[in-house]
Amino acid sequence: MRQGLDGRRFSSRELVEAHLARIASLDSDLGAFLHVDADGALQATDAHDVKGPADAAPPLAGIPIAVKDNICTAGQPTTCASRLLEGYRPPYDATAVSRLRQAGAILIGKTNLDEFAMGSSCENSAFHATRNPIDARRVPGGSSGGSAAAVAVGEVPAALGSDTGGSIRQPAAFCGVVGLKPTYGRVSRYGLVAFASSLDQIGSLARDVDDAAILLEAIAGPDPNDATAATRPMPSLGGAGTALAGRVFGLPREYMGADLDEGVAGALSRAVAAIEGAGGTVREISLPTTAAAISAYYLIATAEASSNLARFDGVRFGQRRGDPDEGLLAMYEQTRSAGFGTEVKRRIILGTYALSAGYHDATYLRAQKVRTVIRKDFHDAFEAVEAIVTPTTPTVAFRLGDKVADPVSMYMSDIFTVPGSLAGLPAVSLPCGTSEGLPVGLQIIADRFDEPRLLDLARSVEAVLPVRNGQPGVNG
Amino acid sequence: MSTGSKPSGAAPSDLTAADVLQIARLARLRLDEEDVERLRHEMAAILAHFTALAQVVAEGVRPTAQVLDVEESGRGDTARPGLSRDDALAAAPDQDAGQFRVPRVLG
Repeated sequence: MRQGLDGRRFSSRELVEAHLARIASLDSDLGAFLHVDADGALQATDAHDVKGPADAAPPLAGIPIAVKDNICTAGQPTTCASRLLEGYRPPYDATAVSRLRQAGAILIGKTNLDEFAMGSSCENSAFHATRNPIDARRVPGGSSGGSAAAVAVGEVPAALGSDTGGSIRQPAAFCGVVGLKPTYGRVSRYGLVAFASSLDQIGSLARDVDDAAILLEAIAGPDPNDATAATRPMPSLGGAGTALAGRVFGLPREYMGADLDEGVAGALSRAVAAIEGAGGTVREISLPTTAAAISAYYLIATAEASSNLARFDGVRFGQRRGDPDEGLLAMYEQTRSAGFGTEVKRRIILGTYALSAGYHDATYLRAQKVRTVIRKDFHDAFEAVEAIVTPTTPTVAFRLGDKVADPVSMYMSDIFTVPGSLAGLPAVSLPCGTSEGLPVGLQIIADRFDEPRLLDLARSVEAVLPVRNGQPGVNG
Repeated sequence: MSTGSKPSGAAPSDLTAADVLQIARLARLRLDEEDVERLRHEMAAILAHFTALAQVVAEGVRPTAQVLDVEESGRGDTARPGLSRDDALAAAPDQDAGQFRVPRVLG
């Protein structure tokens, strides 16, 4: 698309119009978008098209990008897929969004998610479920299911998502696209509606590693508005991908156990064979604390969520409920009870329990200690290998409705992505094959702040994998 | 927790309806009887699954509150522009004289 725009084969307006047409034709069935800003997007194309012949236009200039609806876009709806924020328009842009605007990207719309980013299927959206682009009876994954689906069908070439325990990587795997979560702290969380503050990160979804890297590089870097954003700058993430010969990967034995679906294991083995065929080494390693990671994650994440979601009380924004004569407490309770969906309430209850007196030590504090041990597992592993490869998910995309009534089963779909989140590590999911006709994702995890190595390896691995997710672009 | 004193680390299956209602009250959520019963079961199932945590050897391990290892993230105390009052009130469900208006605190 960059070449097309720079070579004047088409204008940004034409490019965006083509994508809007694609959205119009596909999205009533797919349900990837919650809001499409056609007028704003087309208006923004003028700024690109009015410029003279481009010498070196920035990579995203004139390109349509979608944004997950838990990321604030000033004056545009930002609902977090919740009834509580229905109609809410933030007065400010998230830092990631303002950086995209500065880079000349065209913000085309907001994508569907599980409510407040809590979920692994997009079924927890208060508005509608998004469908898996390959099999409409199945889920696209979550919580960034809308972004993953939109990229997979070519409604947009790339999109922003957010990842707390796997919410970019898992839907990327289910939809057959690339999903990239940076090191915790690489991308400012200012304007990302907080779910779990020590885990949340904004990242990118795209059809190949190069595009995912371009999008990440555009939004990453220090930000005075986020005290948890790393102060070190993001290095350049460009490059061609160096040869795999001599590169050393680790495959944790704990990820290849009974929980792993046979078809996924098969696709993973073929991917590993491809890496080894190109001269890479994949050796078995151990991450001993893996089994406890999902428990630690769900205690920490829900505890932090219960605190973060306390701000949704109907005072300053949101759909307020309650008869004023019943008083302030009734307003809080009715606003929250009417506004939050079942999964959100479940997690608030779990998190509040974990933090309450008498339970705190055995639950939340314990989980934080386990988190330290998990970090050490990874630290030790990276002494011996450059990067870790795993299946991204234990299964392929499951059917709509399959796991809704069984929260534990739903939580288990995150078992391979959660450990990397707890350790704050950068990780990417690439499509590596299929099982039962559905995409399978390969996850690569690198050490903290090691994005250049992660993306270099990801490019090289992508080049040798048995499948390349080559969705035709809208303009060929 | 509930009105009787509960020892810390009580088994999740001991979670009573009263416990769930107390947690809900802390979280400012209103639950009906059906919700309470469902959540009681779900919580028990979820927490029973978390027994893996107890298996991890964590003697002398410091808890991780955040992974960034940031020591000092303050800045000098100089005023910077913030949200204007109009912007802050723009999404207000109810406002009066430039302030958010809410129901009275009762009792």
